[in-house]
Amino acid sequence: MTANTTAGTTTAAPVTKRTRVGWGDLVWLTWRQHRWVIIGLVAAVGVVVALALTVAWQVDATGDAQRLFGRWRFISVGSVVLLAPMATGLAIAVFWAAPVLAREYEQRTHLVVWSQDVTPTRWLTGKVVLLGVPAVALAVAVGLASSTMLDSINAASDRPPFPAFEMPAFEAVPLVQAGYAAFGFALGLALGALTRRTVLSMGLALGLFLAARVVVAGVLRPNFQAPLHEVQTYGAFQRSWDGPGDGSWTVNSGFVGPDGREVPFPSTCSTAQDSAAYTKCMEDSNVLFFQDYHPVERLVPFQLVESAIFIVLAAGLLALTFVTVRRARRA
Amino acid sequence: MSTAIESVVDSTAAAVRARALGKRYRAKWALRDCTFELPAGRVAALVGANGAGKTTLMSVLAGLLDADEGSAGAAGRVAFVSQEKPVYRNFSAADMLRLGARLNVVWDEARARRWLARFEIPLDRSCGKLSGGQQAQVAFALAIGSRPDVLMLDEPLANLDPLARREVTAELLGEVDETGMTVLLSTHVVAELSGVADYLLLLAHGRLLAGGDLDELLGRHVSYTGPRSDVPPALGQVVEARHTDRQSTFLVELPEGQPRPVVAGPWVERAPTLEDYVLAQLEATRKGVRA
Repeated sequence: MTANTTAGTTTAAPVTKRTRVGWGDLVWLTWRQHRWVIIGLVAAVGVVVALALTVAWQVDATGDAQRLFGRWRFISVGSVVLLAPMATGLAIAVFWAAPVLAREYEQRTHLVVWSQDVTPTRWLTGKVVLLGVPAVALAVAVGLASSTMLDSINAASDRPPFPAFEMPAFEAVPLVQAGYAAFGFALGLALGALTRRTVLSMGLALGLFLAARVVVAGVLRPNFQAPLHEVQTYGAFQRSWDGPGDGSWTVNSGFVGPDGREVPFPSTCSTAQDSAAYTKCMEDSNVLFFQDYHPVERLVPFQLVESAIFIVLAAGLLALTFVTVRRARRA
Repeated sequence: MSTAIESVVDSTAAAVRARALGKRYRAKWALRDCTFELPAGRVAALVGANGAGKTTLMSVLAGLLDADEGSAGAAGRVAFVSQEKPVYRNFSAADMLRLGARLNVVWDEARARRWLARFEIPLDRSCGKLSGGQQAQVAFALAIGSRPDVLMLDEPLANLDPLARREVTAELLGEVDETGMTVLLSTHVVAELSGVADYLLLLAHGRLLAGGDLDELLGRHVSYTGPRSDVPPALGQVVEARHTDRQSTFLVELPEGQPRPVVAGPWVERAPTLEDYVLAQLEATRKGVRA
C-alpha cells in the first residue's frame, strides 16, 4: 500500500504489486486534492463552535444574557453566531461539493484518475464517503454548539429571545443541520456531474439550495401537520401575550365573528384611546381573536420531518450523481 | 485501467481486439463496424484524419466509454493518456507519481522517475506551472510507471517540439523492448511514425479502412511513375492515381498470392512509404465520400 519512495534513479527499486487499491489511497488522494477547502471549512466551524461555547459558558456562569464585558448583549453576539447554522449547508453545497466533479471534468483529470486501477464508481464512492461524512459531521458540530448557546441564553431570559420553534433556533439543532449538510453535499455533487462546469455548478448550487430551504421552511413546514385552531376574546389573548409564552408556533392569526367565520378588523375600534377601551370595543363588536398554531410538543417531530425531507432529497441526488457518472460512459 | 475484459493471455494472442465495434453520439455514428486484432507486443499506429473516430475508438478500448454495438477488449491492464495530457494542476510531478503509486495495483516508481529525469522535468514544481510539453511528460511518466500491458496514447506527440517528439518515440520503443507491452498510439502526423509503428490501423469516417502488419501492408503495394496514362502498367487495384500533363503516378494494391509483376520501359517502380500509403488511402476515401 505504501508507495515506493526510493529516491534517485536507481533501477534496483522493486515494482510494487498488490491486489487492490485501498481506502487509505483514496484518503490520500482526497486530502491532497481538497485539503485547502477542508482546512478552510474546519477552521470556520472551529471559530463558530468556540464562540458559541464561550457565550454559553459565560451566560451559564453569570446567569445574565444581557451584558458581555459591559458592552454588548450576549443576545446580539448570539444572533451573529446563529448565521452559522443558516450558512453551513450552503457553504458545503457551493464550496465543498460543487467543484468535486465539475473541476475534474473541466480540467479533464477524470480521464487521468479513471484510467488508473480504480473504477469511476469506486472513486466516486470514496469521494462521497470521505467528503460527505465529514461535511455532515461539521454541520452536526455547528448544530450542537449553537443549540447549546441558544439553550443557555433562553434559560437566562424571562422571555426566550430565540423561541425554539422559530427561525433560527428551529434550524440550529444537530438533526436539522445534518439534513441540510447532506442535502447541500449531494446537491453540489450532482450539479457538478450534470453541468461539468465549476463556476456554473457553484452558482446553481447556491440558488437551488436557497430555493429548497425557502420552499420547505416557508411553504411546507407550517403544514407538516394541520395547525391547531384556537379562538379567544381579545382580552384573553392580550393576557397570554404578556406571559412567558408556551413555546408554541403561531402560523396564522386574525379576527373571527361568533360564528367562527373570519371577519375584517372592526375599523371603529382603531380610535380606541387605551387598551381597556380597545378590548371593550372588540368585545362590543362581537369580534374574537383566533390563532392557528403548533404546540411545543410538535417541535421535535417537525425537526425530524424537516431533516427527513432533506435527507430523502440528498439520497435522490446522490443516486442521480452515480447514474450520471455511469451514463457518461455512454455519451 | 480496470477494463480487463479478457484475461491476460500469452504473447502470441491478441492484446487488443474489437469485433463489429460501433459507437454513436445520438444519431451520428462515430465508429462503425470496427473489427481488428492487435497482436501483443506490437506498436500500433491508429491513423486517421481529424474526426475520423480515433479518440472514440481509444476511449472505448480504454474502458472509458461503453460501445453501442459489438465488443472490445484488452488483455490485461490498460493505461490511457488522453489527447489533452491532463494532470492535476496543483499537484507536483512527484505528487502525480504518488497518485500513480496509490491508485494502481502495479507501480514501477523507478521507471516513472527515470522518464521524468530523462526529460528533465522538475519533481517539486506544481504541474500548472509546467509547460504543455512538460505536462505531457508527467502524464507519460504516470502511464509508464503503472506498467500496463497495453499502453494507449491519444495524439502523444501533439504538443511536443520536434526534438522531444523524436526522443519520446525512442524512449517509448525502449520501454516496449524492456517490458514487452503493447502500444497503441493515434496520430494524424503520419511522417513521424516511420520506424516507430510496426502495425497500422487506418480509420476514416468511423470505419476501419485498413489494418495489419505494416511491412505486409506496404509490401502488397507498389508505386509506379511513368508517362501520362489512364491505367497503371500492372494489374491490381488502383488506390490512387495522380496525373500531370506528362506524368502519371499510381499506387496499386497487387493481387494477393501472385508473384510481383515486372514492369519495364518508361515506368519506374518504387516501394511506397507509410506516408504515401496512408495519404493515398485517406485521399481515396475523401473522394469516395464526395462522389
